Amino acid sequence: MTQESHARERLLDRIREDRLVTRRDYLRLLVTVSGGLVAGTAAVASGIFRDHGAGEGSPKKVADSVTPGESFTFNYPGDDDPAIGVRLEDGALVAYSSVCTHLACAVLWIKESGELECPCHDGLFDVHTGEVLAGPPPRPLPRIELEERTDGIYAVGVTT
Amino acid sequence: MNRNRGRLNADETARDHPDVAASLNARIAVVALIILCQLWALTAALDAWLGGDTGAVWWLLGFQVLAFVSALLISRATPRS
Repeated sequence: MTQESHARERLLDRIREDRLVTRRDYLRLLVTVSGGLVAGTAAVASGIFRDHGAGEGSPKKVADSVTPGESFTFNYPGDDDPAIGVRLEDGALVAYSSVCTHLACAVLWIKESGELECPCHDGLFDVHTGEVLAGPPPRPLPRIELEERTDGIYAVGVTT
Repeated sequence: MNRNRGRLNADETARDHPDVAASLNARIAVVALIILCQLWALTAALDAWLGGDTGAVWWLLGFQVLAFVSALLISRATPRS
């Protein structure tokens, strides 16, 4: 065997050491990906992603009192569900989940403009309804029903 | 051992009759199309879940299972060289 053919054989050996991917391998890989997508959808359906502000909660005292134009924060319906309440200038009391429906940043009450704002991506929500006024949020904020009682303000339920 | 495995796969590729190769290519294309539909279903399911429409999520999960079973059957029915 000449030196040239020996080198050629060594090169071919190196190429053969890399396992070739056959069409059947591609097909098996695609079926595995397909199974992974089923698992992903099953995870979504099983509730792996929390929907902040959704769910039922028992009545809970959230504030003693609040003056017009001021806001207060609390957690409802769960202890990990931040919410914001606002006493409007006309005296009405409203409250929403303060988790932005876009990417879950905190929603803030801007007294000067009278709007709820998500500062992360400039999302704006109507303080009267929770509807999206501007920005990328895809859904309105879940609304928390408040009740004024003699001993304070109570959160009594959630409407999405 | 790796060397032998490489040779086996190279031989397997070389053995595919043109008809078999075409059939495999077509199956790969169909399964890839199924996966594209599954990707859409996954994003739609996430959007429906976050929007509170849990009923739609279960329908989409059913679609995903059907799509996976179809892909599995297509891959299992591959012709032998």
